[in-house]
Amino acid sequence: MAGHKIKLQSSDGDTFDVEVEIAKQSATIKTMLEDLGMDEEEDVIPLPNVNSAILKKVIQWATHHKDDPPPPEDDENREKNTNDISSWDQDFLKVDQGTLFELILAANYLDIKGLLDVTCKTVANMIKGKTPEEIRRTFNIKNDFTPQEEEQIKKENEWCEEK
Amino acid sequence: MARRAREANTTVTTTLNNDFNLSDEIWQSIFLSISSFNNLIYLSMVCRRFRKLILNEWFLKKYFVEHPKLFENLIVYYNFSNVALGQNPFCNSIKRLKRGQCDNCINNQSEIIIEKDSSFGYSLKTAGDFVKIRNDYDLFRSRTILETCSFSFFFFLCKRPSSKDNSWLTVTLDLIEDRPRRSRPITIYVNAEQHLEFSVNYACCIQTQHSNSPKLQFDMWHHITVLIAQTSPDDTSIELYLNSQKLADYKLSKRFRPPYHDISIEASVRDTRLAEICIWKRNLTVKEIKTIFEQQTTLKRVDFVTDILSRIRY
Repeated sequence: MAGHKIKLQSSDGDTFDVEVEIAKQSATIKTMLEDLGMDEEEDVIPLPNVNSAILKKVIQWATHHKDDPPPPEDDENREKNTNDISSWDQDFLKVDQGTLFELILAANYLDIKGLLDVTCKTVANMIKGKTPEEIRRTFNIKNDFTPQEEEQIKKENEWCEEK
Repeated sequence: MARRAREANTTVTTTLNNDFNLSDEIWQSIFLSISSFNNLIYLSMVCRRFRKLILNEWFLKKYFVEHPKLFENLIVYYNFSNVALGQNPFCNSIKRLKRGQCDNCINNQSEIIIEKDSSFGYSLKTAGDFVKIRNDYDLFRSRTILETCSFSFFFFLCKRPSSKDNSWLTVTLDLIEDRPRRSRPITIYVNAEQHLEFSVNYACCIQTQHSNSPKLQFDMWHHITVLIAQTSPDDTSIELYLNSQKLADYKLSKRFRPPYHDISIEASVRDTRLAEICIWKRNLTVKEIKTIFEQQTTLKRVDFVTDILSRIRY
C-alpha cells in the first residue's frame, strides 16, 4: 500500500496528489476513505472548506509529521507537553494571523489532532502575559463593553488577580 | 462525500470579523491551555464574547480540573485521607509505611512516604506523660529555594481535662545558613491557655512575641496561614492569618534571610490533630485563604466557581 496516492481537491478547484498514509492523519479523510473503499486511484476527495494555499500548508505539515507516533489518547500525557512546540513547527507557524486561524479551522475540519494542538498552542502563547488591551490589539478585537460595564468588571475581577 | 463535508462544515460557527473567526469551541480549547488564572481573568475582560465563553459554570469547572487553582506552585502537600491510623496526630496523612508495618501503632522504625517527591521524616519523643510526634520537612533536600512562600494547615484541639503540661502545637520554620539548626526564626505555638503565640526571631536575638489571639475553641478546626514575601532585596514581610483573619504582620530587614531549611510541626498525640499541610512557592491571596478556611475541605475540592460566578453581573 506504500506510495499509494489519492487526490485532494481544494475549495478553489486545485487538486493535490497525496500519499494515503499522509492524508490519513486527517481523521475526516480517513473516515471518508474507509466508508467509501479506497481502491480507485481516480478518487478525488473534495475539501470545500480548505483553499489551495492552506491545503498546501496542511499537506506540508502532514508530510513532515507522517512518521510521528500517534498522539496519546489519555489526557495526562497530553497535558505534560502543553508548552513545547518543536522548532520545525515554530518555523512552520511563522505566518500571519489570518493564515494561522485558517490553519486552525482546516485542522479542526480535517480533524488533524497534532496540527490543531500545535496551532492552538501558538495562539495561547500569543495570549500569555498580556493585558486585556494588548489581547484586543493582538487579535484585532473590538472592546464592546460600555465604560460603565468595564468599570464594574474591573471591580469584580479585582479580588482574583494575584498581586 | 459532499454531504459529509457539509456536515463537518457546520462545526465552524459564526464569524465576527475576519481576524476573529474561530468557533466558540476552538476559543475555549485555547483558553483551557492558559495556565495562569490571572491571564484567564484578563481574557474575560477582552470582550462580551470571551466573557461569556469563560465565565460560565461549565467552562470554569473544566478549567479548574485542568489547572486546580490551589495547586499552582504548590510544592509540599501533605494530603490527608479519611483513614485514621492509630495514635498519630498526623494520622490521616500517611500513604503507606515503608518499614515497621503496623496498622495501629507507630514505632520509631517507621518511615513515612508521602505524595509528591517530598520527604517527611518523623520521630517519636517521650516527654513526661506525653508522646509527641514530630514531623520535619527538609526543604533543603527538595532543592527548593523559598523566598516567597505560603504555608498553611488546619489543626484541631481535642477537649481534655486541663493540665499544666498541655502543649498543643508547635510549628517552626528554620533557616539554612551557618547558624545552628533549630534556631527557630519563625515559631507558631499554642500555649496552655489555648492562645496562639507567634514569634519571629532574627538577627540572633531580637524577638517579637504575639499572643493576643482569641482563645481557641476546642473541638473545631482552626486554620493557620503564614505568608512570607521577599518584598525587596532587603526586606521580608511575614503575615500570620488565623481562620482567615490577619493576626500579625512584620516587616523585617535584610538580616532575616531565607531560604528556609526546615519546617517542623510538633503536636501532642493526645491533644491535637492536623490536616492539609501545604506549602506554596507563591503568596496566597486573601481571597484564597478565606476560601480554604470557609470550605474546610481538602485542597482538591475547594471550589472557586460558585464564588466567582456569584460576583459576576455582566
